[in-house]
Amino acid sequence: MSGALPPTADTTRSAAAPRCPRLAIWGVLLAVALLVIGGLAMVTGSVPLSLHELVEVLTGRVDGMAAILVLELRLPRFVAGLLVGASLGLAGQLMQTVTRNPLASPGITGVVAGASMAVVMAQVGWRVDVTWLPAIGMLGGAGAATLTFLLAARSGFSPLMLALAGMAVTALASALVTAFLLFSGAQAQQLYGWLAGGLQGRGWSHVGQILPWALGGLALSLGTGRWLNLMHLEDSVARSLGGAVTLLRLGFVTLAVALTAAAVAVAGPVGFIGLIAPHLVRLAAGVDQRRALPLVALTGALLVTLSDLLARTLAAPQELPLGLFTALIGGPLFIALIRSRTP
Amino acid sequence: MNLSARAATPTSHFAPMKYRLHLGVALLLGLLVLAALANLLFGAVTLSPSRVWLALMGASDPATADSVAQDIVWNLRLPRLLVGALVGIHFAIAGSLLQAVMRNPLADAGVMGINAGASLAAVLAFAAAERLAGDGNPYLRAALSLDWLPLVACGGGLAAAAVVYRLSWNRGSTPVRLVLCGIAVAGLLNALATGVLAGWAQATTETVLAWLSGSLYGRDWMHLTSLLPWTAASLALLPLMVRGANLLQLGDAIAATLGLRVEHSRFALLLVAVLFAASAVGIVGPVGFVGLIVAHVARLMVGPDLERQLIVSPLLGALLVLVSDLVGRLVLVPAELPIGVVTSLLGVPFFLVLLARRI
Repeated sequence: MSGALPPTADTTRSAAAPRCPRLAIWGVLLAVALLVIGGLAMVTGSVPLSLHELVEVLTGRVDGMAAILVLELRLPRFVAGLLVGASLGLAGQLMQTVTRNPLASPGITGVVAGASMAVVMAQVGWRVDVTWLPAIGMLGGAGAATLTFLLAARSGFSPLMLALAGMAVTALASALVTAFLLFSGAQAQQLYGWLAGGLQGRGWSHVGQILPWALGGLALSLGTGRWLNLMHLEDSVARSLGGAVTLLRLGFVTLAVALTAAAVAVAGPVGFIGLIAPHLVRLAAGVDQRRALPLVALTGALLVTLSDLLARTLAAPQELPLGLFTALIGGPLFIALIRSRTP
Repeated sequence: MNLSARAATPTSHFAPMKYRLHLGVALLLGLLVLAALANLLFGAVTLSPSRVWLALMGASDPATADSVAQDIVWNLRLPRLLVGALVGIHFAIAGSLLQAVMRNPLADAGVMGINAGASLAAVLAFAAAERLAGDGNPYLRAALSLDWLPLVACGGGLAAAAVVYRLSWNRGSTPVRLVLCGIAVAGLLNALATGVLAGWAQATTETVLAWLSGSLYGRDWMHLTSLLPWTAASLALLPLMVRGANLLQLGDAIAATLGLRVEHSRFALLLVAVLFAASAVGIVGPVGFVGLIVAHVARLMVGPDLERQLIVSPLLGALLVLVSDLVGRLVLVPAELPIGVVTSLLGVPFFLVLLARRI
């Protein structure tokens, strides 16, 4: 069963020379796409702006209504989406690499559900300050991850067992959330909106909330890319190359949980990004982590900002839940992946 | 035929399997009777055994009749008890069959996307009813969706299972692909259900939430009569399935060597399991973990032979649901903890036990 989906690395060559131009091209393409989506996100909405107005606002030549719209509403929301997507993508990449399991992702392993359970409980039960939410989400996420990984490890750490254990843990967490919602009374509807995942009304304070986690996570994982590459190898080989395998693995999973929790605390449980972004990048960029990580972050950011743009424009003036669109984009990709890769 | 499966059974140190089966069945029946009695006696109002007895027997003299007790017993607790037991039987059989077909101790009805499909269908029904009835009459709106809910939810569950089966088909099906596709489809459908609920059915959030958490609240004779035909049909098919399921547990190749038409057999088993689970989900909503827990306990009690498991697992399922419902009704009197929440909470100690021993 462990061979059901081939491990992420069937090769350890970094294929540096021939892949480099391709990587650069992908990076540029992604960045351009992000810029386009960012531009669209700035000018569309209940009050559309012209490109000219946008340039004037960004260069600081006008203030008033347009400036408030862009600088206080649309820009922070876009940046928050960017950071959420990047964090989730990175978390997925770390998990998939460390477990050598192509289905390991924050969503599948129940980390998203655990983190959102902790966040809901903290908000309903204790009304804690929002700055604590990432840390609290991390506790829930870490608990869920521990349970899933232990369950999966007990019965042979295959993609199948990981997915099943994760599903059971997710069911558990969402049942607890339901119980809390049932007794939260009037808050239920608002919380349910949060549980659908969304970036509605996210401002600079939210950006400030996730920024240190996302940047720290990116810097840490880029700085340790060499060790992350070791994770592709058999444990004994990695050890002989000087890696403290268990410690590294624990560290990387903790990092992934922290990134997920920060994203969940800001945007609610947004599914499928952590699963899909690494796979899309792997198709394009191969397996060297130092090259793949920035691309994964960009891809995750692209998926989330695109989904958010759709969520707030398709049925305007009503906002649709962000999670709906990430599921609609990610779900079919996930199914296609399973169909193409399982024997 | 069953010899092959039985030969693989490790001999127990304690007692021969046959006696364990008889003992287990006797024990379970006793517990089941106790649980049923407790369900009749306790609740928001505690009734004395004599009042319950008289109410059950029906009063000979209308003048001395205890109409309150009769009302509670006949219109509330008895139908709820029977629906609960029946639903437990459904989930238990579905769980045992699915674990055998998938050859996986963590498989459950949720793996075929049944819970997620039923949830999405129910949420869509609520949203549609909200649109259809407009703002005119809230009672009409509630009635529109609640009457059709069992059928709609069951249909949603069946459709999701069909999609999972179709997606996993690639010149044949394999348990691994079935499970993975099931998880993918369930994840997608759950996200859609949450999204639709948050986006379009906000006015009915609390009603939908009560249904989505899985509840026996207000289940009456109508629900019982709509569930019974499913039970009968599926039970009639079951004996034809046991041999195939036992052989499938050995692996596709061995099963085929022993003369089983693997794909036919797997499809038939999945169909029966899905019918059991989806019809029950339609009545009580997406209740999780019952099939999972029961299948494990049944295997611990009587070993890997599915024929024996299917004798104890319905009893276990009914018992589990009745006890969970009783707990849910008693912990927060007069409020109720939905049964889906109780069974999920039972999942915690269950997982810990699973972790402590080899699966």
